[in-house]
Formats: sequence, C-alpha cells, structure tokens
Amino acid sequence: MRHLLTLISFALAATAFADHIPIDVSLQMSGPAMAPAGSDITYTITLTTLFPGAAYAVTDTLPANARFASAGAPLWNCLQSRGKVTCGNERLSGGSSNIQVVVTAPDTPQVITNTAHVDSVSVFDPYPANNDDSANTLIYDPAICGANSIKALVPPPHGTAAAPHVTFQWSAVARAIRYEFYAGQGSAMLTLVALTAETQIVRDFVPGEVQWYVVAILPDCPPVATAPQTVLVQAQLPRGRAARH
Amino acid sequence: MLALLLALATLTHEHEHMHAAGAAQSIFLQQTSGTSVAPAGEALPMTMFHSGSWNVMLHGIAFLNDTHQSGFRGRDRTFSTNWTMLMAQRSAGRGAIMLRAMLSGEAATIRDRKYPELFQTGETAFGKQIIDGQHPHDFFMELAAEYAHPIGSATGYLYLAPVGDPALGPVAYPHRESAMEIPQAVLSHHFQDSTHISYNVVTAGVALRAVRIEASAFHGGEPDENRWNIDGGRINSASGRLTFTPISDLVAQVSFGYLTKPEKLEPGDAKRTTASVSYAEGPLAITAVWGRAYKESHDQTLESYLAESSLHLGRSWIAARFEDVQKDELFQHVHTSPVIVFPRFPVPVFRVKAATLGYTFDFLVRGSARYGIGANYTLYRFPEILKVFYGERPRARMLYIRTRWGV
Repeated sequence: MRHLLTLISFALAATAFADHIPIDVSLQMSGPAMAPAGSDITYTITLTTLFPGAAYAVTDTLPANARFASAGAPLWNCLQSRGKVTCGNERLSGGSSNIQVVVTAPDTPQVITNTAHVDSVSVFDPYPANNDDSANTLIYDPAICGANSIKALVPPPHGTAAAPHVTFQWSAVARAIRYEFYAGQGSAMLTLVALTAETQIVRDFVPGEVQWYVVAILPDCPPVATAPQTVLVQAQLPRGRAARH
Repeated sequence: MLALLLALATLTHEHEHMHAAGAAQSIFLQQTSGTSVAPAGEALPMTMFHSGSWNVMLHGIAFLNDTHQSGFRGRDRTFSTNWTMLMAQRSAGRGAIMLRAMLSGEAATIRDRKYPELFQTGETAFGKQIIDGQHPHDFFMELAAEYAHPIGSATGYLYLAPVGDPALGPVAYPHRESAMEIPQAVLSHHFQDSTHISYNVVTAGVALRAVRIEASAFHGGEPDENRWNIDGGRINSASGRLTFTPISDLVAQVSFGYLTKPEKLEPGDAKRTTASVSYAEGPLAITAVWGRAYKESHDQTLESYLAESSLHLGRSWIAARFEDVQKDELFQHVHTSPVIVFPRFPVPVFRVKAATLGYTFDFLVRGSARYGIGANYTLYRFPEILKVFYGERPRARMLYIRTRWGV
C-alpha cells in the first residue's frame, strides 16, 4: 500500500511539475529509399514527446552533395547554414510533430545519407539514445534506369494453366541481381513466394484464379515490376478420361 | 589652575572623540551600496553640503535609452534607467552614524515590467520568468542606517536596512564607476550582485587597516513585481565577505552567501560565491568579477565572469564590458514547482559571451550636473544550437542621453 501511494504521488508530481522531471523526446527520420539524380527529395523528421511545452532544437545534417531546397513546418523556425538545417520550437505540443526538409539530389548515382538529431533545450532528456536517426537514399541515373523493363511471358495474360505444376516466365532484365516472385490465390493477399536468379519458376497451385507479378531487383536502379497478372488454374483431367473424350 | 586643567582635559577628550569619530566616519567613505567597498580613486561625483552636524551627500544618474536589437528575440524599446542616492553622516560620540536612501524611478520609466536585453534572465514579469529582459529596480533600492565605532585600532560597524545590500558580492553594477557609463544591466547580475536589493539586512563588520570582515543576515527572496513597496520578509539567509584593500585604489573581495529560496518560480535554495578586484585611479576604473551560483533545485552550479572598464578623458567616456556566463533560463519553464522534486535533474545550460563597447560625450556640464549623449554596441557569442532561437548574429545597440548629478 505504501509503495502504491509513493507511486501515485510520484506520478502526480511528474504530471504537475514537469519542469523538474525529465521529459523524453524521440526523433525519427523517413525518406525515399531511391530517387532519381537531380530530383527533389523530401525527408520527414518526426518528433515525439509525452509532455507539451518544452523547447527543442532539431539539427539536420544534410547529405553531402545534396543541395538544400526548403525546410519547415508550422510552429517551427528553421535556419540553413553550411550544410545543416536547424529548426527550433520553443513550446512543442505533446504528441508528434513533423518537419519536412527538401533537398535536391546530386546529379550522379550514389547513396546519400541524411542525419537528424534533436536537443532538448529547456528540460532534461533522460534517454538521449533515441534522439538521432538517419535515412539512406539511393540516387540513380534515370537515363540508365529508365530503360529497364520487365514483361510477364507465361502464362499469357488471362490465360489458363493446368494444376498443380504451373510454370511462370518473364523477360530478363539486364544487371538484375534477383527476381522476387509474388503470388496469391483467390482473395488471399499477394505474398513473396520465391526469390530466384532465373527468369522462370514452377509452383504448385490448386484449381482457381491466381494473381502474380515479378519484381526485378537491380544494384543501382529502382526495382522494376511486371504488371499484375491473372491466370486461371484448371484441374487436369485423368489421362484416360481425356482420351475417351 | 584647576579650571584650566579641566578645560584642557575636556578639549583633549573632545579632540580624541573627534579623531575617533573621524576614523569611524572614514569607514563610510568608500561604501557605495550597502557596506561594499569601492576603490578610493573612484571619482564618484557627489554634491556635499552641511546641515547642522550632518554631512549630506547627493548623487545620481539617469539614462534615457533607446535600444535596438536584431535577431529573432531582439526587441526595440525606449526606456529610462535611473537611481539617486541621498546620504547623511555625522559623528556620534566616539563613533559615527550614516543614513542612506537610494531610490529609483525605473518602475515608472520601464514599461511591461522589463526592458529588452538579449540573454538577460532573472526575476519575473506578469508571473512569468523574465527571458531576454532586465527587470526594473525597486523604488526603494536602499534605506539604511549604519553605525561605526572604534574598537582598539580597528573599527566595528553595524548596518541595518529594511532594504539594503548585504555583504555579498562586489559593489553592485549600478554603483560601480567602471559600469556606470553602460546603462544596461550586466548579464551576470543574478550570479554576482543581484542581492543589492534585499530585505531586512543586518550586517556587522570589523575593519582593521587593509582588511574588512563582515557578515550579514537577511531575507533571501528576490524582490517581487510590485516595485513601489518594501517587500520585507523573514530573515532566512546569510552571507560573509572578506575585503582587502592593499592600496586605496585597489579593492579585492571574496564573499559567500546562502540564499533561502531566492527565486519566485524556482524551488530550493541557492549558494553564491563571488570574488572581484576593482581598481580606480584618476580617469580609469576597472573591475573583474567571478561569480558562481549553485541551485539546489537542479543540483547545478553555474559560472560567470565579467571584466569591465571605463575611461574618462575630459568630456569623453569610453566604456567596455566583457562577460562569459552560463545561462539556464533562456526558455520558459514548462511548469513551476513549489517544492524540489527528487531525484533532481539538470536543466540545459548555455554559455553566452557578450562584449559591449560604448562611448559617451558630455555635451553640457552645468552646475552639479553633467549631460552626455552616447551609444554602445554589444556582440554575442553563444552555442550553435541557439541560433535558431536568436538568429545567426544578434546584435544590440543602445543610444542614450545621460545625466549625472551631484558633480
């Protein structure tokens, strides 16, 4: 009972006197995994804190070779200087708050890294380990990658196949390091069924409609995917009955 | 013959009284605020006259300022900083007595209970902590009586003040000659000399040749926002100071104070340690101060350093100030607490440096008054992270008209 009262009183004190207790703040950054060279890339920095009213400063160290385009969010004041964007908010409301930072990607293919850090400037932050995050973006040459394409070959679109062994085939993509085969039957969601380096695969299905597509994974270009395909898998008749027919 | 001897004895006794009283009165000569000692070379202008057996002194200073500050937190404002002092002293038996009143009209001449000053903190305005601003001084800055009496070759003194300056810190900045041509407050004020307006101050001290040792008891709370009254308060704080004057133009002091709940919005007590050296000779006045404040509420110690000087050449005054101070109140409290919450956690602290250079020209010297016009400019250095709150390069410039009276 005494421990319970202690806990309750501490909780009350923590709620009423937040200036004298630590307030944790965490930062997460998100951005595209890939972007064409020279394009604008938007990164979103999300701050989460339990208590409202504290002041925070976010420092975003922009990717090398990327050019700053813009930064901001309502109630945030942002400055850009020497490859860094710093944003400040003197009274952050509780919950989450987003800052968007836009940079122009470099003109040559490479991987760029954007890193952000938050400083609590008015109250003690008890857990600084969650104050940093980064996002990597692969910058590709759209002139090269734009030529990549993949087509479903077998079974033909809206064609039929005999159960249970169904063969799927697609066109080869230059420099592809692997192919991801996704399929689903009936109303089931399409899931990753297999990874392969070949351009064909055989899988067993029961009679019914099957949806499928293939994604080609490339080392320095965005993945390319076939259009979603549908094939009707039919029951195979016994060889004898087929002969009688 | 007997009558002649008695008369001679009486004269000798009176002469000794006068000599003793003179020694006692000399205690007051270098005191400018409370019992703090300024260098003898400080040429504080004063009007002196006699009223009966009293020697009366009057002086004061007033600025009409116009400040312009750049950066996100910079503000512009026209306001006046000012104070005046009336002091009277006379012999009293073998001792001497001094009465002093120091008044300020800043409560009427400063709007919104503060004037803008970048990176300045301390006290409250409209119930909120003051950030980037300086509070006005109370109308009653000091109301004090002091009695000094020879004790052997030493002189003891007792200072009583419903509003006064306890034995803690250097001479407060409004009364330092080295600071007097810079109208804005020092950023280290609340680490070094902010107790210059305290309540129910009792100080007892002994001066022996170059050394003074004194101790004070007083109410430790800072003044409230009503600047027209005398707040009062229970005596709950104490301080002690050792002052050393190796030559009359050089004064050094170390002091320590324990302040019971000094701040309105911050729970807990504070400890303050200061050391300073002041030198004044002819036209030059220099002061260097170190102040350390320990805050119980966050179990944190903050440091401050100050160096300032003024040079008086004919009608020109050149003033400079440099400060290096750790600030912990540059952002509003999320919530205030009437009690310390354990465990205690430190609050973020930022080291701020400020350099001010100023010039005043006395365009008119008439009677006991000097009228000057001047300006000063302040540059700041601070941690990179604060730029988003203060701007890349905030600056402050001050234009002012100044009058000193009591020349």
